[in-house]
Amino acid sequence: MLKINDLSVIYRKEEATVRAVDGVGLSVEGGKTLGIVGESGSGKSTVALSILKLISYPGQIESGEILWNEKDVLRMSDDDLRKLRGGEISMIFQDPFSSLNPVFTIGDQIQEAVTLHGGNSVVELLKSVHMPDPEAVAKKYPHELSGGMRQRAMIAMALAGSPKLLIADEPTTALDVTIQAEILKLLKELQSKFKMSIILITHNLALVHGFCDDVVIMKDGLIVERGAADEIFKKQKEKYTRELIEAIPKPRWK
Amino acid sequence: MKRFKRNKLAMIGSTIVGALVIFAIFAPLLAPYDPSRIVDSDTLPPSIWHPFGTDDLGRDVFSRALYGARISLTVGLVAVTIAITIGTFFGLFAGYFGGLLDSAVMRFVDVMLAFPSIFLILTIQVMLTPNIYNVMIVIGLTSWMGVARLVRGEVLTIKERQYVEAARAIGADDYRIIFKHILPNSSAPIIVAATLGMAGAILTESALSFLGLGVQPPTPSWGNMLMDAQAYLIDAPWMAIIPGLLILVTVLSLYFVGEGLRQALSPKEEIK
Amino acid sequence: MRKFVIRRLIHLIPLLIGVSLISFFVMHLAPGDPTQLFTDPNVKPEELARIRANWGLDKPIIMQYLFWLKNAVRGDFGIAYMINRPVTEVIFGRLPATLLLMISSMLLTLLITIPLGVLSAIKKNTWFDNFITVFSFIGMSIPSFWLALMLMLMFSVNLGWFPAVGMYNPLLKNPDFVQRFFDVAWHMVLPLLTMTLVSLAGLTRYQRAAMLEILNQDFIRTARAKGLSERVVLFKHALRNALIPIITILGLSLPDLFGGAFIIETIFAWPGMGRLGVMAIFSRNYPLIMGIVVLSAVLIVLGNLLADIGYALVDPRIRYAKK
Repeated sequence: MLKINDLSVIYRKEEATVRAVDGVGLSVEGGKTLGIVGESGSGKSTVALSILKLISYPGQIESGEILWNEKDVLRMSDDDLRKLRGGEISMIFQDPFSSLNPVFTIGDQIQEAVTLHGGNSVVELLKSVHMPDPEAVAKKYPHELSGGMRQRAMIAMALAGSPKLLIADEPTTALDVTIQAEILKLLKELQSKFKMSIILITHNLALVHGFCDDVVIMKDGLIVERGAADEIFKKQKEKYTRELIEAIPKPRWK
Repeated sequence: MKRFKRNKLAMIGSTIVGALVIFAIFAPLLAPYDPSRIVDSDTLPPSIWHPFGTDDLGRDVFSRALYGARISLTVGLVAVTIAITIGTFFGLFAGYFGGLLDSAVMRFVDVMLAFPSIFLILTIQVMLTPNIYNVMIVIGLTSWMGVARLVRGEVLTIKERQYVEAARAIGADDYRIIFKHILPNSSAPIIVAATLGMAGAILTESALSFLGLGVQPPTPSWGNMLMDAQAYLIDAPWMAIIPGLLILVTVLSLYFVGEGLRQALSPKEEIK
Repeated sequence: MRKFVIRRLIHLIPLLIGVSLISFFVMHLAPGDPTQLFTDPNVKPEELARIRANWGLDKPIIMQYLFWLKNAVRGDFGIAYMINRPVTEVIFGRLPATLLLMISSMLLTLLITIPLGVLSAIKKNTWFDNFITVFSFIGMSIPSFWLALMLMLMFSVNLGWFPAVGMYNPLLKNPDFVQRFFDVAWHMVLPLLTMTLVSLAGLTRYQRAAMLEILNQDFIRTARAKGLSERVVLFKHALRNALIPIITILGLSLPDLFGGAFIIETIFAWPGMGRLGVMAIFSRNYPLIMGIVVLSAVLIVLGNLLADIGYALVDPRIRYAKK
């Protein structure tokens, strides 16, 4: 359903132009989960943002194509792009605190998405992400909620248009460890309920295990290794991948 | 440093300021006439002999403007130095020691800020005999508050940083910490504030001289030249246009330099 | 919320004491006193002594201050020298003119600076933005009194469009409200223009910076990712946040606005508190100066307080945090 071909993205900085993504290609099938793993600066977030053409100055998509159901996102009309965003493809971000507008209520912000893309009401959406006391939460402002609740609200907002693909850019990095597991569980549950594909961006290879079907490892803007998640964990082709796996802290008891 | 050079406006500003400094220092050599002597008929419009014309008494405006540059730049520099020194001391001690000292200083700052500063300056100047020296001191004494707040803020941030903890751990005493560690790291905003402060001081001095409470005639200051020009607005408009324009250009250049410094000295953003 | 306001008002008291104390002692810095300004040689020394005693100038300074303070807290600011009317009456007589000028200026400034700053940020680095930026810098560098003179030169002297001085035409006989309104408005154009242009410059830059910072925030990206049109993203999500800092900065610019009023009113002979203040200073009219200083301080602090309250009303983070 999603196919990225030869994507290159550059960032124009004062001193030089940096190539954040260099000729990357990947694909995601319906209902499947893809993990894009890499350290800071590997280009993984940039790839994710490119899918919805959310790269802004000083970044620039230099070349490549991003095909969603055979249509190239990068060459779509603005109207089609806006229908796509939050509609068939939705995205949630790393830090739910800074990613929500502080001066509007949660309810208002989710309602915007509902009005644009149709679908369930705000309260129903909040219920589907297991938000406690959804009616009250809808009237609150982002700073009044905990980190986990904020992320749930973001997810609810992303679900308004019944997306076929959900892009999650480091959704748990800013959260406490216990909440991380809850959010991932929630995503898996929503995936089967709504029959979505998920792309999970993360620097933590451990999260991928058991969550993703396929994995793509990125380093310095290039894809270093790719394959099914189980395969990668059993046997790695590249030294870098091996290093990443070795870096996962293993429980000592047992 | 490189970033500063790349900023077009900042470079233009620096060039102009540099030129003004040279004009000011070498005024006696560059001025075609003695600024206090009557050299020609009064109120002559600009010409080759008098590029800025002559004023109401027949003095050459160009020469007066050159000497006026001396006054403005000197007053600006000295006043801002005083203000920065006072403000930095207050800010450093209030921020570092906190507690009662901090509250007391900040209250004092609030009181000083509640005055429309021009009013306070005017009042003081009226009580004393205005001359260039007390102008510099008075402006310095009334414009340190912004710097104090700025420095205090910086100190509060830097205080928590690890190298301060480290210094304390090896037993450095407070004064050493303040002056060797905290001060150098907060110097960037202080430099920017100094540049902008100098611009402000020049504006204030010209306002004072304009009202007759600053530099006294016959010593030419751009401000008091404007005071004289008021009555001749219709007959000799160049008397009013030129000094004001000079003030504007000087202050503007200093602002450009200050902005350039601020952008050049600000910490770089992280790349994700 | 109420507690917050009351606490701030209570802080006003030591502030006013501080302000009045400093003013009082500054005024008595110079040797001599106002009676020395009487240049009439026919006035006998006994007369001078009597006047001095009448005005309480023969007592030690600290006594004079305490005496002033005692009356001030009751609202009695004494009698202005020479004018021989109560200070409060004199000041309040002139206050409306200044308030008219200042409030009009603030409104006009707000009206212009917000769109200019916001658009400047949105169109960053275009010719529009560069033009506004340079214009702002120039506006910040202009000496206000010179601008006043230049405007006077251009519009009053050369073009004759607006009157150069005064607040109203004294020759108008029995004007009705509308006539008077237009008369004053006519006279107000040049001083208003001067005052506004100067504050406009700095505030526009500030608004631009605030808007730029907001445009860089993550929630703008989220708004775009939801599929909102660029226009909604900018003028609903971004703008709503950008309006918050402008309130604080307006409050903080009050002292400068006041300072500007002194000079501008003097040049344009606008009969307001500023001009009164300058005249009072030159004539060493102590009671009048004290009254004006205290009133200015009160107005400035009130302005800041209003700005803080406004900020709390507009920013939900503050409003709900106080509960």
